[in-house]
Amino acid sequence: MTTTSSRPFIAAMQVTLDGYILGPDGEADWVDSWADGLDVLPEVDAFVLGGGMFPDYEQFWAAILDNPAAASEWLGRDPYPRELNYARVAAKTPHLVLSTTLRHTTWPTARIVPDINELHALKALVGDAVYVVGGPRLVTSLINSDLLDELRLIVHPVVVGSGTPLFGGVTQRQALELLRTEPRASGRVNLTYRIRAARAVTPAAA
Amino acid sequence: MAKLVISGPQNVSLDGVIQDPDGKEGLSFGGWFVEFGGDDLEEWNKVALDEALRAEAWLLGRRSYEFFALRWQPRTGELADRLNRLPKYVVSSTLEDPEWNNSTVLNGDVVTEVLNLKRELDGEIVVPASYQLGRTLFQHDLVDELRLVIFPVVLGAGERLFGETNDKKPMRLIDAKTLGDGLAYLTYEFVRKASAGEHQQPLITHRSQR
Repeated sequence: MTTTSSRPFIAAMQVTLDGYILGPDGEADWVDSWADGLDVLPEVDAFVLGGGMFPDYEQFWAAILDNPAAASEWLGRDPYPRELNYARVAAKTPHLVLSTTLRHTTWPTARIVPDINELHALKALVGDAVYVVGGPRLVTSLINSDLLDELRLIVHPVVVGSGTPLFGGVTQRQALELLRTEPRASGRVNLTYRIRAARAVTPAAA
Repeated sequence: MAKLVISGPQNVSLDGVIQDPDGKEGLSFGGWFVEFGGDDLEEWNKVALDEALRAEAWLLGRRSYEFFALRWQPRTGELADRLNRLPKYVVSSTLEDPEWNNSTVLNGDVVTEVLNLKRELDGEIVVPASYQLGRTLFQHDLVDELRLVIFPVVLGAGERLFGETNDKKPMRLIDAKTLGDGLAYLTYEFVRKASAGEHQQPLITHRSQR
């Protein structure tokens, strides 16, 4: 199998050192900004999201874009410039939302797709990289379907012990290739992995 | 006062699994240390030697103790000589006559024993590959530092380094680098709360603020 002719699907995820996306009470208070995922990516021309996270996502970024006062109240601070930038980029970039239950979206560039095959089709199109925004269920389905090419983790310096793990749904051992280890002044580490789907398959007897 | 370090270094998969690195337990995902360490294990060995040279003592659970004793007792060489000479403390309520040179059994309450050990020694007490003990020490805020080597694989099953914790444990990143091509080597310091272990200034400050 070769994926060199198709464009890369890159997930950028913020995790705790023990691999959780959310803590036991659904919190992620170690995250400074949800815009930070975009900063670790190359140029992208499509976003892919899971249906579970999308309603909150849509509401959050719509507020940043259209109602900064409401957004400030949620955040407990004014939106950062990089959050305004994220909202502007997101507003003009196609969003594919994988869901069999969502019926409609208010995000101007979003389209709900019920079938993962549509993502295979998106991958085959010519274009830039595709940003896989989350959540964990989508990321693991993409890993399990050999659709994810790269995983960029922003590892936060905290251990939470329980909650929603990023890799909870991985069904098969998955080989990775470390591309970069980048410590940040904030105490975070950015780890970039290429996913080597070919090596995930048990080697045939020699 | 010694510093307690979970290291050796501590090997984990990207999803935090520490179980069956050498495949001896025969688990389906076992054997990941060599398979995913590959040529990078040369760099890993340098780190392990360096860690052993700067350790003041090892603190281990019984099973890891027996594993390492079998492995290192008969060997010679820089790392083997160092480990055979190094003071080793084994947490066990059943072990009576430890065979490995320079070993001491700690059979009392783990937390008390470890606190005493930290008070008596200076330098680094390293806890290698003893995740159950590590979890206990971690729960009781006795760990000062963690040095992780992340192997480039998601295993999807197996015992994890961190069990359920009673609280969020904030940490401070000290260092992050790549060993060879594919291993990430991360060093964290635990951010200690005022109430834990040592009774230092924070307790007083805390009181005076009320």
